[in-house]
Amino acid sequence: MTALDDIVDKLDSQFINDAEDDLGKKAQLLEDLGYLSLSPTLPEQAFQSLVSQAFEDFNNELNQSSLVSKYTINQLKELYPLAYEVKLLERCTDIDEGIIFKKLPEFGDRNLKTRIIHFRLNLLGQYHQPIKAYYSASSHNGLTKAASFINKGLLATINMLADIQQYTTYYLKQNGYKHPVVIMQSQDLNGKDIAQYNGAFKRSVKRELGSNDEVFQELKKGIFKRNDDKVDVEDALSILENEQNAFIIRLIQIHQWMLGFYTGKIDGEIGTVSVNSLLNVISSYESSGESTADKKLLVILSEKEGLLAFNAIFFLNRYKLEYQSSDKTIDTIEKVNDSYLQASPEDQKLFEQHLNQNFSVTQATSNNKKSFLHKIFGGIRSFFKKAFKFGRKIFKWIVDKISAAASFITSFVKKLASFLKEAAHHFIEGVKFLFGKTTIASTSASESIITHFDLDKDVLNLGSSLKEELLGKHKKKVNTKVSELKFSLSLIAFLFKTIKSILLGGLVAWPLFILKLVKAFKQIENSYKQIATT
Amino acid sequence: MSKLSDGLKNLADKVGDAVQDLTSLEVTTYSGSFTLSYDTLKAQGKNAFKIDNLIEDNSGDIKADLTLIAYSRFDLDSDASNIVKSNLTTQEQALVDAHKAMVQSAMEARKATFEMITNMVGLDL
Repeated sequence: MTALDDIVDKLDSQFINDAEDDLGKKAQLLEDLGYLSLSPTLPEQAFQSLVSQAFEDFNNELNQSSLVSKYTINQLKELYPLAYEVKLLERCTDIDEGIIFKKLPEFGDRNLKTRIIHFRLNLLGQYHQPIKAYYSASSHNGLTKAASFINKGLLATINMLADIQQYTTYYLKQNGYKHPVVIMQSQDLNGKDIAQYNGAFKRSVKRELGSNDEVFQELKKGIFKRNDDKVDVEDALSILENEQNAFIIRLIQIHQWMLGFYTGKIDGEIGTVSVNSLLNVISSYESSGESTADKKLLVILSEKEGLLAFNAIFFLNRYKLEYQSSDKTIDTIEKVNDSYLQASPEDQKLFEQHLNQNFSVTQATSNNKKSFLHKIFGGIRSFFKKAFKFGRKIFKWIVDKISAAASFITSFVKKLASFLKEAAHHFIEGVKFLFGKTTIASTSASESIITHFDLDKDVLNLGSSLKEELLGKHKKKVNTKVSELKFSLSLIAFLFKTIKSILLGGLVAWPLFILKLVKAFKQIENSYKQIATT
Repeated sequence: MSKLSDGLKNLADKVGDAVQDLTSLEVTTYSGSFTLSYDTLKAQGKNAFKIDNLIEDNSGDIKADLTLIAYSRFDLDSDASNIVKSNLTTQEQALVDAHKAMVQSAMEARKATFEMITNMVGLDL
């Protein structure tokens, strides 16, 4: 076996799932859009057949809707030949770079557009009917409510929810500064490392409010009216009842979920998972270099009542900064790459070992129906904008298996794996072409045609007893393959450009190769996006 | 030298060799009876890369029963030659149509290879 065979073999066996469609992910997304309602006890075969039927229903509605252009569909097919169906579903449930609507539905409509609207409003806690229901007064009222939080029109609001970071930024401007402190109630504070309230919390809120001093003066008449070490519990309880308080908790839950820190149900309720995820994210901010000790982000107001105060404005301010930043996917990967290069051989070894373990877990859960128990955030851009601030720490967190960052690392590796699967596929296809092993065959009972690509002899066609139907099918297959090939060869070119200096300087290690492969894939994807927008 | 580095260097060498192959483009179409099916292709191995060169391995058996339907060659200096069988049957005519489409695909693949090489050496053409 040649060394190149080894690379192809390893990529194929470790990063490309045998199952061609990530069934669990598909099921989750179809359920999010109301095409599927599943029970975890369903037999595997029935599960597969239901998912397949639901996808067909989705595809029919998609084709009728013209919400996703043919160009985008073809582009997704070329970029993600293995996970194309999942990517298409993710496009429809995306709250990062989601679908923009030209107009709102009419009452009584029921189609993909109404499902997407219901999905977004449901996530925001403003719609509680079935996702698949007709567009009704409930839909309209939910949308009106979501619009009122940002003081925008209905169409503008639903389109802003295609990018939740944008919506959050508008919310901050309209309402966020008026509600800098969020009050939470949890009966499960035992054993949690949460500081008691003191004046530092108040001062930290004041700092985050910046020029909005009038808001702080109002707080001093309410929750902060007592001395430095106490708050007015009665006022805290009244904040707890405020609908904006619940809404901010929901928004923060969504952002925590996008970053992978929150894995529970997005419901605006504060349970153990919510408190733990807040503590984990605070601890991660701390270890990423942003000192949170003096900021007192989460404090106990009253143990008896289970009352917590959360410095919401700190997070809303950071979400705003993330929104304003450019795409950080490649930069984040580069930071991990740099940390790897600077690390000791022992840490490099541990990184490789733990990264492989994470990949194995990701692979094992992506194809079974159990993985649909937790909602998956498929967005990439927002995730990496958020993850970038942890960039320098990601390597160390993986090496040291830091428990507070475990769910974030799982999300990070899942994102890497989703790219890597396609990048590995394209790499293998490119190598096959360069070595003259690209063969496309179309057969039926009595006809067959084979087209073989070779760099030297170019194209060889063998055909027998061909009818028009099979020929048409074959031409389409060849066209698709050639379109994919362009991407595969570009990926190899980008990969070599980025890996050339390492290759000339000595050994290339697997973790570096994987990171560079993902980087090359993202670079190509970005160049496709640029073509689409120019 | 690690196997990974060796493998990547092999690939880089192959890309270097590809430059020589870009000077001409050939598309050949045969008709005839052959028994290869897609199932045969798949049965050769799970990893398609490891399939032995199917066409070359079987070329002796196959070519005995094949009729050349069309051949096209394009050289870098713009010379082009085409050979098409005379007295085409309806089925053979269908293959000529397929041949034309495959010439187009071959050109696309060639363009992609060319772009890959120029990208790798940093030329922005």
